[in-house]
Amino acid sequence: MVQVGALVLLVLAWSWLAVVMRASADVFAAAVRLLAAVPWNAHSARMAALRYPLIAASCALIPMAAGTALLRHGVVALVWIVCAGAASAWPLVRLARATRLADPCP
Amino acid sequence: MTALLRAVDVGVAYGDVRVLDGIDLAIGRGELVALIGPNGAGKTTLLHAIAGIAPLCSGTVDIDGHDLARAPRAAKQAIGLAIDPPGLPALLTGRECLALFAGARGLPSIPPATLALGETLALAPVLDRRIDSYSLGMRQKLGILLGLIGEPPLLLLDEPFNGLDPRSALAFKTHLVALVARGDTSVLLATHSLDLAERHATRAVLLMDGRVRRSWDAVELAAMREHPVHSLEKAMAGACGT
Repeated sequence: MVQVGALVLLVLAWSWLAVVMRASADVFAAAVRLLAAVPWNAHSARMAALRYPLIAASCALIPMAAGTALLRHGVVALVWIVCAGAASAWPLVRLARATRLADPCP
Repeated sequence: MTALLRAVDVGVAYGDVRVLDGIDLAIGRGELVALIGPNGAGKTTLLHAIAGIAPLCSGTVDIDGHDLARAPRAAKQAIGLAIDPPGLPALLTGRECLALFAGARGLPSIPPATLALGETLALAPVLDRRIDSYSLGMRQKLGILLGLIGEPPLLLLDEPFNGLDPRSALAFKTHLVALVARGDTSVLLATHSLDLAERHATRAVLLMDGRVRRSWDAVELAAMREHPVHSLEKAMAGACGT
C-alpha cells in the first residue's frame, strides 16, 4: 500500500510538472505574438517566462521527495529527475526560441 | 518636414505570394495618413511590416531614425500598433492586459493618459472584467488603448473604428485629430471609411495589389471637401479603374 502511494506521488508530481511546462511554453508563445510590436526587453521576458516553471518544479520536488522517501530508493529520485528533464526539455527550448526570435538584438 | 517613417522599396511575401511590392512611403511628424484600398490590397500587411511583425523580403523601414532590421527595439519604441480584437488574451482582464503592455514598454504602471482615454471611450467600467466577456466594440477599444500606451510618436491603426459605437468613434476621432494637431504624433490609418480619410487625413494613399497606386495630398483632399462632386470615393474609383 505504501509503495502504491509512493508511486502515485511520483507520477502526480511528474504529470504536474509536464503540464505546467507545456502550458508555460504555450502562454509565453502567445505573449510573444501579442507583444510582437512592443520593444520589450528579452532578458526580462526570459526571466518572467521562467518564473512559473521554476515555481512548478519546486512544488513538484516535494511530492517527489516524499515518494522517494516512502520507497527508500535513492535511484528513484534520479529516474524521476531524468523523466522530468525529458518532459521539460522541449518546452524550455520553445521558451528560449520565442525570446530569441522576437528580439534578435537584446 | 522630418520623416518619422521612411519605408523604401518594401516587399513582403507569404510563401510564393508577393503581398507587397516596391512600397515607398514617408510620413512626417504631425501627419495623418489614410491608407485606403480594396480588400486584399495589402493594407494590414504594410502596417505589420512597419511594426516589424511581417518579415520584409526586400527594402528597408526606418522609424524615427532607427532601421527596423538593425535596431528593432529602438525603432519599435517609436511605434504603437493597435491590437486586433481577436488577438487579445481572453483570460486576462483589460487592466491586466494594459499593465502587461505598460510593463513591456518599461513603464512603471498604466499611464494616466491611457486610463483617461479609457474613461472617454467608456471602457473604464469594464477594465476589471475578463476580456472573453467583452463585446467586439469593447475589444476594439482595448486594442486601441494598447496601441496608444506610452504615447508613441507613430500610431499604426488598422480599421480602428470597426465595431465602435458612434459616441466612442467620435471621441476617438477627436482624440486622434488633437494628437496629430499637437504636431508630435503621426498616424497611419488603414481604413475603408473614405469619409474619414477625406475629412481628417493630411494625405490619402491608395494601395492596390500590393503597390501604391495613387496618393492625394492635403491640398487635393481640401479641394474634395469643398467640391463634394469630386469626392475621394469617386477619385478612388477612378484610380482603381472601376
